[in-house]
Order: sequence, then C-alpha cells, then structure tokens
Amino acid sequence: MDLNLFLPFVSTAVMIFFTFSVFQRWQARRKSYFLFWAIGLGLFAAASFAEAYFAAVGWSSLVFFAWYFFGAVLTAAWIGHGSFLLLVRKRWGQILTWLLIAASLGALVLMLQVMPRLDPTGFDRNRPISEQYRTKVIEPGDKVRPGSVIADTEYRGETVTVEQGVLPLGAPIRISTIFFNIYGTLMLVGGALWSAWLFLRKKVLPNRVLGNVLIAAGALSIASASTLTRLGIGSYLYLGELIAAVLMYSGFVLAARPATNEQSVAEPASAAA
Amino acid sequence: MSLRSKASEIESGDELRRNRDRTHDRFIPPSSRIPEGSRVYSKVLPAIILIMGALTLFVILVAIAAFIGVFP
Repeated sequence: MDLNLFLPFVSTAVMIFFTFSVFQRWQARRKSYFLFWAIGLGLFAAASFAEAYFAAVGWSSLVFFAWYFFGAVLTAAWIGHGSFLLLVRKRWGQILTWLLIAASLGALVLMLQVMPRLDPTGFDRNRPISEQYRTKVIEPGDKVRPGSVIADTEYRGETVTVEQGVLPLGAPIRISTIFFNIYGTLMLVGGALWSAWLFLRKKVLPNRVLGNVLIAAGALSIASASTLTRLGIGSYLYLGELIAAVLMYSGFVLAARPATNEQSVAEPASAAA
Repeated sequence: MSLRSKASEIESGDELRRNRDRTHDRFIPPSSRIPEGSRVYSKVLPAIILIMGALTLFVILVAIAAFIGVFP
C-alpha cells in the first residue's frame, strides 16, 4: 500500500479512537478541558482523513478546506487550549477561551476568502498534500521539483516566478497559522511536561509522569514535522502525524489508567492529560 | 466500641493521613508512589523533560524564524 495513503489512514483510525475516548470522559465529567481536547483531536482526525482522501480519491476543495483549516490552523491551538484550561484559574481560562473562539472565527473568514482562489492545477495525488499546498517564489539557483507547475505572477507590485501550489502566494490565512500553532505547541507540550514535572516532584503517580512525557513527545513530533513543512520539507508530515497520534493516545491511556483499585475510587489528579 | 477497635481506627486514620497527598488533598496509596531511589525517576525522566522543553523552544524559534523570512 502507498505510504501516502497508509500513514494518514492509520493516523485517522488512531485519532478517531482517541477522540472518542476523550469525548466519553467529557460526557462523564463535564470538564471543559476534555471538551477542548476532544474537539481538537476530532479536528486532527478530520485533517488526517483529508490526507488519506487526497491519496485515495484525488483533489477536492472541500477536503482541502478540512485539511488546511482543521489541521494546519486549528488543531494544535484547540488541543493546547484544553491543557491551558486544565492548568490555570477559571477566569483566565474564560478570557482565553473567548479569544480562541474569536481568533478561530477570524481565521474561518480568511479561509473562506481564499477558497475561490485555490489552484489545484499542479495537484498530484501521488505526492503528499503537505508538499504541494504552498506557492513558492523561485529564486535563481533554486531547485524545482520535476512535474511542478512554474508560473509568473504579480506579488506586491512585482512579477515573480513561482512554483505553483494550491494556496495563492501571500494568502493571509497562512500568516494566522503561526499564532495558532505556537500557542498550541506551548500549551500542549509545555502543559504535559509541566504536569509530568509536578508529579515527579511530588513523587506520586508514575503512570501520569510517563503518560504526560509520551503526550509531550507526540505533540513535539507533530510540531517538528509542521515546522519542517513550513520550511518547505513536507515529506515528513504524515509520519510525524502518525507518531504523534500513537504517542499521544498511548500517553493518554497510560495517564488515565488507575494505578491500583484504591486509586480508582479517589479523585483523579489534576493533570490526567 | 472496644478499646482495641478504637486503637485500630486511630491507627488506620494515621495511615490515611500519612498517605495523603496534601497538594491535591486526596488519597494516594503507597503503590501509586514513585519508588524511592529509582534512577529512572530521579535522573533519566527529569533529563528527558528538560531536553524536551529545550527542543520545544527550539522548534518554536525555528517556526518564528521561518515565518519572518530568516530562511530562504
């Protein structure tokens, strides 16, 4: 089976189980951080499914919307916000929650604005979408991938030669991703590491120490792959997503597992990420 | 209540208090505590946490650098 299909397909399956587990926790406990985690993980699953769809079926504007808006823009921030809600006072949590919702709606407007300008001319279903989504200015001496569509376009009052991607050059939605992803990475990785550190310092609940370290490692894996994609190296994104899905789900299962029968009766710890 | 059962209750109460995690105000049984003197928990995991923290900052800095156009 083609890796471009296999990796996102497995990631999707893992993330669906993960989302369902967290959603069940939210139904049982009604804590807002479980809801944000479940929404963020659901967005991750939708973005992974979009990648599998591109490889299996081919181009679709709607699927690109799901891949870029859910995956590249929102996922990290919404999962990370769940961690933020777990660790801070309710008042700060409410303020940031409204900010995140407002920013997400703003990003939605930017995404809808760019949708009619998408250009799938050079789309090739045999290559990951992460290698094809961005339009890149070609400087003298730059290597161009075989099969790429090269075009001249107007950008900031100049005519530039570009390697044509799906998103137009300078699309404002691309600018928004950096803010969402930095917030999400800081909160998710930082929150998990902080929780692990707290349990370690108190010398309790080793399963939560290891679980949080695994969650942080998974989040770091997808953050690194996303940064590489931003640098134009998109071929590791699908692998990074699969590693993230497996590590984060394993970490969640480990952290949520009661260590003993007695503990299952007691109140869960604050950082059962 | 006999003196013996009263003593036993006080004893178990003491046991409970000893095992209570004061920060979270909840019962942590001895089996859920990190083993004393474990090298993994005293050396390896703190080092991993610090390295991962540093890596996270590095990844974020590279992302910001890419965003502001440091890399071609």
